[in-house]
Amino acid sequence: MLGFHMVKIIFASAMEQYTRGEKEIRINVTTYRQACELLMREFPLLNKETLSEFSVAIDDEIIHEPLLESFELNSVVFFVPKIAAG
Amino acid sequence: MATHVKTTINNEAVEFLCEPHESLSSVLRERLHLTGTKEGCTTGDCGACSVMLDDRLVCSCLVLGVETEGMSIDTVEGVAKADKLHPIQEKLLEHAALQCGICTPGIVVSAKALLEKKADPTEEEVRFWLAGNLCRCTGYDKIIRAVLDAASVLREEA
Amino acid sequence: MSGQTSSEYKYIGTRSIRPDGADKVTGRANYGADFFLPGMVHGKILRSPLAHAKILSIDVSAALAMPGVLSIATSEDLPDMNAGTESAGEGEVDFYDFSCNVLAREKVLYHGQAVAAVAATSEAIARSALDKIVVDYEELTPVLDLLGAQKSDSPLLHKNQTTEGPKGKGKTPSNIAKQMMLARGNVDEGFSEADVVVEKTFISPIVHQGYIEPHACVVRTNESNQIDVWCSSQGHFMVRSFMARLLAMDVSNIKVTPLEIGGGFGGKTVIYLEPVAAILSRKAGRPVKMVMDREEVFRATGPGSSSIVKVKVGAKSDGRIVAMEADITLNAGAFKGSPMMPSMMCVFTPYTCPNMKVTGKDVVTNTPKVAAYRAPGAPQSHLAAECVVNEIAKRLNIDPIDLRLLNAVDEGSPTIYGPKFKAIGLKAALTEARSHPHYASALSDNQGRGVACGFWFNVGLQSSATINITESGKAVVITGNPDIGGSRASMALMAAESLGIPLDQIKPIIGDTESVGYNDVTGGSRTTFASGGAVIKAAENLIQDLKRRAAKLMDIDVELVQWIDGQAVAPADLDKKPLSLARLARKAGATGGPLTATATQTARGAGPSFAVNIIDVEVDKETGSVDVKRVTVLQDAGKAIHPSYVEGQMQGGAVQGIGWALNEEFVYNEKGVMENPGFLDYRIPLASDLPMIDTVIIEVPNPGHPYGVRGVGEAPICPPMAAVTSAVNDAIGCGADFQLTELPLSPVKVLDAAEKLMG
Repeated sequence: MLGFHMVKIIFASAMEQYTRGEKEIRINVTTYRQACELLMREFPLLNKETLSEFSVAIDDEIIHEPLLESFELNSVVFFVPKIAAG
Repeated sequence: MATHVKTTINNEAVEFLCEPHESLSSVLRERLHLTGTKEGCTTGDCGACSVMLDDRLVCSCLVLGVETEGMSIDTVEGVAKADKLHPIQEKLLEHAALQCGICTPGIVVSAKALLEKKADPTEEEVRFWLAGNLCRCTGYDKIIRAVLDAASVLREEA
Repeated sequence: MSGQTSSEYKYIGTRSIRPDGADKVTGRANYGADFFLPGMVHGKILRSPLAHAKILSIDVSAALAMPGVLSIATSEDLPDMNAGTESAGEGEVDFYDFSCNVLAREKVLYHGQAVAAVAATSEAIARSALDKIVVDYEELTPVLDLLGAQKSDSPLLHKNQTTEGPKGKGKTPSNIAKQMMLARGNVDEGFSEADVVVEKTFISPIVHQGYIEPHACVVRTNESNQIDVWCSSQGHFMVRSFMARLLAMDVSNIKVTPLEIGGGFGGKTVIYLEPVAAILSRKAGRPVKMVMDREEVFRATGPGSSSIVKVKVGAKSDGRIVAMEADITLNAGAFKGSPMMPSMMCVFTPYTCPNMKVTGKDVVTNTPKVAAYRAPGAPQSHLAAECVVNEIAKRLNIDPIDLRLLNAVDEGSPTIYGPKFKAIGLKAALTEARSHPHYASALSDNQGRGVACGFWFNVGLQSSATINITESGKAVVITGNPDIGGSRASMALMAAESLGIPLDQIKPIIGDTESVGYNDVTGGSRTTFASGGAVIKAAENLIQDLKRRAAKLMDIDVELVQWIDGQAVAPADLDKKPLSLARLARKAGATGGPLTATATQTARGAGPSFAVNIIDVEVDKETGSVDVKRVTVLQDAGKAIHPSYVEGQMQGGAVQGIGWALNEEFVYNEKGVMENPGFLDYRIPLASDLPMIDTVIIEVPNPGHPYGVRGVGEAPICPPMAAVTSAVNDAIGCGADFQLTELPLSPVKVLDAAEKLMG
């Protein structure tokens, strides 16, 4: 979709209801915020609330509050369900 | 009708008023604010409220306050003497034998009662004696080791 | 042991006496029910006598007219709430459901649910006033069976609840709240390659965390709309934010002072009494104390989920696992929200198998709303997965630890939920287990051995810490996580190590919600990792300030000052005397004012933990009773800050798991009334039930923490249910076909299975 595919975003299965069943997407963004804006445009069912229900793992580091995170070239970003504590 | 009760608690004369239905644990905690005696169940199953009543180990939740007229009650508050912990208390700390610590006062009272009866108990004897004191945090391992260790300290002191 | 050794450190890794110890062994420490205020009155809760009913009306007039009754609360006193989940703290919460669980609206959904509350001048009056409240119910059929609840003709708990699934919300109302799937590779292809396939279903009952301290609080309101709360919980900031949300107040109007907590295990990460006590107090104009009794704790506080977990595993004859499939159903209780997701994410995480598929269902029934219980959801799914892996090992005649080592995840292995592992200690723990003397020891007649491993993520979340230096140069270390198992000791050790000052110069305390920055709950095995991390950062900030001040006093450049062993040191050639912390504290007035430092963090880099158990049991073939003979628990703890308390977590978690396997279960009658709501009949393990619990701490440092700390509290409860179940099946001679698959393994079930095997 966008010429230079920089970041691979992989959706948790719990997100597929919002992504028309898409499991992953490559997008040209450098920050989590940009990624969210782009994902919300691409998948209108996604909104800020649903996105906030997930942590993200950026290059295997799970980040609970990713709002201000930026990505490296070719970063792999997983949306992961938030883990409750016991 | 509240009843007037005269007792000795931790070697001090103590008088209190209580209703006939009030348990000793409730009297100690609510009326005398001796909250070292804990209530985990009020049905005699958990042992957190263990006290000595005329030198007998009891669950104070199963004793009525009015029953203790003229009796001597020893609670966890009376175990440490003059700013020095009892060896059982010291060993529980050394062995890290408490996590949350809510069962600990009952364990202290109960273990002390055991070691006063039997200076050299086996591991199995300690386990069965403390079977009335529930601990949900530790799995008992460190508690048992602490009590056995305290027993040897007390034997050396004797 | 691998990784860093304790000799690199002066304080951490030592077995210091906990700073709060003396108060806890003498009975001086104040727990939830140990707090009193002048003028305090007593609140009691009226609980539903039915498991499922509509509330037609509540008449409180007769109760309110009783002498000594000061106020009454019902759900009408709670603000309206919108339904729908929202992100709150570390998980998702539906505050409409939460509000109904605090005081029922419209319907009661489990026996024991709170319906109304009374505050009176004595507990006895409050209790008798409860009898005068008249509630008119329309009784409905209770839904108790986890399978039956899913059927289309089942009575519904929530008429507006449809199933949320991978394809969105369902159309028709259902007791299945959520349905999810995780997958990697292709399981069908995997199974077609397999030489051996085992499929089995394991069932576990509702169990309780079983903390010895019942929930308790004192709440005082005033005329300026301020609320003061004293309570025991796994997080006083959690209490504050949930109260604010449920009472539609701002958090700044609520101050929560933590009392000591008498156990939680996840069960005190939610609240029940505090909002009710606030309403009662506001209406009565008096402080209100509320304390649950043990029966209320069992009937009305969140237990752990019952489960039905079907697992299918396929392996090649050489032991390589090629396909793993699980179908996990967890009971949420009366309101949606079982730990289905973590259960799904953990079930096969110890294994590298390329083809996995895990489905999950979150199902509501007329039982108490579940709460977190130590590694929520993981023990239930590990029970099934680890038992099936043990059956595979038996079928292939491969040692079960060797089989696991062949398939175990390691650094760089991907997880089913996405990211790859950094340094982890599963293989190290398995290798230690295989060479442990326990594993080589012989078994006697009627004995069996089980091994199992388990996984828990551990979390980071938000933490704050403040260090205040006294005029005499001692460090008061303030954190905001209730100390549930010795965390003050670990905070003190990390502060001593970071500041380079002796342990007895450190006083660790737990601040209330207004004297330290925000902190997420003591849960997710995060406190030593995340709040400890905040302490280390605060110490670093303090050292920067101390160096600046020392430079001024020495009249040298700040870059020249080093902080070594608790003192500011100048280069030797400058001939300046080192300045100790005590000296710098005394000079604080001249160098810029009092010494204090704060740090906060949203901790990242939480290190996951793996645990391995070897458990031996002996079955009495006359009675079916099971005696646990020997237990060895191994766990990758990362750096063990205080090894004794790490061992304690491992031992305590193992024993909770053993209780879950052998004894513990909520027994319901057909009306949905729990029949064993006391410690006599809900039997948690006793000292006399157990042997010593041998521990082996593996220390693979977590690269995400300055000292290599991982969380340790939750992983220990993941393997024991599977290890015990495998051991009992082994002891009765099941071979590679486990007959005992439903917990608890009560004497009757064991005897039945043993007799069947003997023909």
